[in-house]
Amino acid sequence: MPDPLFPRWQKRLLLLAALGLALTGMGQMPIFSRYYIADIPGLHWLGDFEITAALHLVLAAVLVCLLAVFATTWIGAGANRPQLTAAGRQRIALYGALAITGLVRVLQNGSHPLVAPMQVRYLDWTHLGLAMGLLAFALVRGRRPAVAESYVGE
Amino acid sequence: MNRRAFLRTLGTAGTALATAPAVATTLIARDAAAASGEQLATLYDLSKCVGCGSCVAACRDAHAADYPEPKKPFPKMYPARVKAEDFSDKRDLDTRLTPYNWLFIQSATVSRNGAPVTVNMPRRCMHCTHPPCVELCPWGSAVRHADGAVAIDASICLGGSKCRTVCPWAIPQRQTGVGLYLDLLPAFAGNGVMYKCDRCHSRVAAGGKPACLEACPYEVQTIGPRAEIIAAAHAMAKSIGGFIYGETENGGTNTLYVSPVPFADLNAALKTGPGQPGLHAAADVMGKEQNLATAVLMAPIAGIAAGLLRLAGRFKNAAPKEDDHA
Repeated sequence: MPDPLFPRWQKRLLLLAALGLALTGMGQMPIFSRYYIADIPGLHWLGDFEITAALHLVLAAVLVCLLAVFATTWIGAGANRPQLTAAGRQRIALYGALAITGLVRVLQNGSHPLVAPMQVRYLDWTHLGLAMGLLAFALVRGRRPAVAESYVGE
Repeated sequence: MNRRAFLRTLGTAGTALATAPAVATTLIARDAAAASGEQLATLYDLSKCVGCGSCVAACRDAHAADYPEPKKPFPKMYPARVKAEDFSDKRDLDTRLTPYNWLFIQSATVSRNGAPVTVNMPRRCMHCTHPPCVELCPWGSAVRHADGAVAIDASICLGGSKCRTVCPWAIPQRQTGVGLYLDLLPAFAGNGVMYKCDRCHSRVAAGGKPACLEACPYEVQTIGPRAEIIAAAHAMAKSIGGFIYGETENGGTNTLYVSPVPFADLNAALKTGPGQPGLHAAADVMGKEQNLATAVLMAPIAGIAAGLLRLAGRFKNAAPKEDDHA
């Protein structure tokens, strides 16, 4: 019996990373302090930009790594590759675009800026818009399977 | 691949990363642009500054059109902890940084070799080589231009003041009742626009010099490629037995000061507070995240490696079955 192509614990880790990224991503805006959320005992860290930015990067590394694992195994599975559903393709597009815009933003903060200074806003807005899109997708179509039901890889 | 094997793969990738600093350095080398001469820096010889205020007046003249004209009354904001910040009735205030005063003179008197020494310091944005206000702005309204000038675009700034929170010197100042937030959700999001020195970016881009530099009658300030300015600062400090501020603070800034007295002494003697920055040993805000940023950039490589290992494991496990069918 071969290993499952997409182990359940990795899918759960991906979900955990995505939820953490959504939370710490929102924390990049000054809203948790403004709306008293950081005043709740145990949630003070949500109002600390240094902490939320560091956590955002840690979780991004986990998410991007898992996405690369999934992509590599899916592409490399050859004829055994499970067929993606429409929801699966949409999920890949959203996650992929989010990861790419995030990676470009990380490069931007280094010494390899790929985007002109006055255009960085469009990169940020795209990243934010994609996150909102993924949230809407999760609410509306989040429970639909990503691969065809005939696939019994797990 | 099980959890242990996956984590082992990540560990292997991590080790490879640790042993390949050249790769990581290439990916996120933070100081290449600053060292290349692309970024311009300014140097203040504080031993020459008499605190005449010519630079402050010149700055006001040069940026008169950039100052905010807020609409009053301000929108009521929710929740109540969100306070309006209004300097529109204090436009002449020049003892601190405000949305209408992007440069002010700070003075401190300290004892040096038994004699009192007064040092005057023109204070404005330090124009960091890796400005946290820019790199952490969630909206892209703070930008660092290729020449090293850091600016805030008033047309899209929402005035959340994160830039001030993450700035080691809390330089940007907020004016309520102006800007994009008025057209969005004035009661619930934003609180005006943040303002600070942009080192006269448009003047410099057109081949000129910052207004404060041109107006100074004592030639306190000079501008040039950062590497040359650092060399000049060291030469100046050596010749007067002085001290440098800005070369390493917050990981390096494009504003350097040379003083005849230690900056720690000046910092202790300064009056600091809102709009009145100190001269402390500022830690490198963005440098703390450098390793994490590198990990993010290396993550796809680790993921591909883990995926290939999983595929190899699957093929290995599947091989005996194929033999059985043969």
